Amino acid sequence: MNAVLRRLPWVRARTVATPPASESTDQAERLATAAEEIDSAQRELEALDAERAELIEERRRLQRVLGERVGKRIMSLAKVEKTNGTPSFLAGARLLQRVHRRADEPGRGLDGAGAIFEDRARTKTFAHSHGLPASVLTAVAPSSEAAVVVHAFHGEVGLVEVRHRGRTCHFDPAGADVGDIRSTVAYDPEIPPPPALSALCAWSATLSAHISRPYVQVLWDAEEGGPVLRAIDVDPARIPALTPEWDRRLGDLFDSAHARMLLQPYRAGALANRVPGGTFTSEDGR
Amino acid sequence: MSATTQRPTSLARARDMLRKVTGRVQRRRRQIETLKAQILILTEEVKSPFERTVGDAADPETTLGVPSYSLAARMHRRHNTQRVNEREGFREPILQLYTKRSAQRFADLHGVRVPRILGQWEDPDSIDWDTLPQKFVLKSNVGGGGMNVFPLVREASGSFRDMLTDELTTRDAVVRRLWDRHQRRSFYFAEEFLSARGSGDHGSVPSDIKVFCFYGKPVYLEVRTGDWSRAKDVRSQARTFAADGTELFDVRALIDVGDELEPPADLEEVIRASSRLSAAIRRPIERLDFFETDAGLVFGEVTQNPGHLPALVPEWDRTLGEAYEDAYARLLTDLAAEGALHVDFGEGEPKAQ
Repeated sequence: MNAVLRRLPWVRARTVATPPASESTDQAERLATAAEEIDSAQRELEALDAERAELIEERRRLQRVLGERVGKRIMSLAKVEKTNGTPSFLAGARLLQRVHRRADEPGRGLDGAGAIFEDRARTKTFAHSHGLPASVLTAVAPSSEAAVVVHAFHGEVGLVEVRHRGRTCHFDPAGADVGDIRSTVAYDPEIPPPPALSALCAWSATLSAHISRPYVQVLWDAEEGGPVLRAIDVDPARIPALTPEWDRRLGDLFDSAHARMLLQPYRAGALANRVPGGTFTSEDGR
Repeated sequence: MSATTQRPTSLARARDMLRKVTGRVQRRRRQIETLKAQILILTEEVKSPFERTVGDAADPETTLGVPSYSLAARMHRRHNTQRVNEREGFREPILQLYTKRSAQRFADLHGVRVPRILGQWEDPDSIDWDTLPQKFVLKSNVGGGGMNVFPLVREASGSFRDMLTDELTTRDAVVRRLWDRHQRRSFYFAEEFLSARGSGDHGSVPSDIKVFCFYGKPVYLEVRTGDWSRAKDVRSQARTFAADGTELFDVRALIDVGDELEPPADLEEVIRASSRLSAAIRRPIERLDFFETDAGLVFGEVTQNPGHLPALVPEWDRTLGEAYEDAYARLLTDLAAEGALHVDFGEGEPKAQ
């Protein structure tokens, strides 16, 4: 008897009776074919069971990783969708950058800010209009020796980056060296904070508060005679990849800056819900 | 019993056994597909937003990253639920549509059918039960997840059948439940009982059609029932579709698939109504809910921050992320064209240093 058939208990039982020769041959062949199909299906089922077990174990491992983050042994699948995620500077800044790059002229952006700040004269006019001293607006050739990048979040400074001879040091707005928080650049703890740090931060905050983006880089040259505004970059090619703690910290600033950015259209009534003939007014009064 | 009668039986049993094993194989394959989709989702979920943006780029500081619905939708939800907007003095106008009656008025003004209102009261004790018909739905103006929604049918005994839980209840019990969740801004109203399309005299509660919209463009929708509401014993189920009606499988793999749900019968109307309402909400992302009833499509509510944001497999997370960024770009373009979004030049004179 077929080896496969022998493994099937109900086939063994049937083999006790002996059918007529011609019928039995035909029947046995069909049974054998069926049994082989069953055997094949069962082998596939066993393989699938093994695969399923591995996948369930992998799923549980991932659920454990997520659970540990919220102090639980495991995070249920339903709970995953209830999480709010965490703020991220890099993720937020790139998201808005991608949105603005959908403009017909990507560098210009949807609000035209890129076009304004590509033009040094218009940049000067802008800075001038917000009360920056004429001395910082003097047109000079950008220095390659030293530069300060103020990472500004619509009215608030998050980080000050000072570059010197290929090395970098980052400071908080109060002038404290925040350490080696950026793996992509060479950290130099000997680089001092810029002499006019508080003024740079105040000017950068002022300028960024009047730009319709949540995050901009305000670039300064630290000249001997005092700082000089080099440029305002609303579409930076390079955005710092920071340690998780600092990405989160600046992510919080980004979230708030995003809300502040929307205050301009909000106060103009441009975000109001529309209805035929005008804007919607809730009658709830509650 | 002779061998001749036994043999066909044996073959029949063989076929039966083969059918059963094949069925198990098919079910197992489906389970494995779902598990694989769940693992794809969870593998992304364990990454930080930073890691999801950077991916495997050689230089993390220059990569633009790729759109993600999950990251974008969570940012908006965070801004509301963690009071980021509130701290900055930004009250999103979509919040006007949070209350049910306000949202209904908004939809009505856009010509989308809303349920007929049978009465409205200041507090649960004021509800005039005797004026209400045989079947009605009692609601609080605020609250989500169906917690303050009571579709009720009068019983001969004077009690009511709660059609969400299929349990008997009383006026007092319902009033107590409403008081439990009462808020300062709550008020209460009764509206017509909407019967699911084709449910006839039985009049079952219609499934929700939840449409994920991006400033005028519906992209993804779900038919859902038992949606995390009071009906604890009811299994939450969903079927998911692209806006063109293509059914999607294992896209939102962390929730149960609904094998007892009907697809939208009038998808064209769902898309038309949701496009119209979404285009009037100046936000790149929201969810609009509808019911398909015997009387046609009826507006349900606007949800600005879904309690459960769909966690989608990477391909669809990207697709909806693209839709979000496209919507945000169109919104910002409109705002800029209206002069409401621009670089703000001041009037100041340069200061002497």
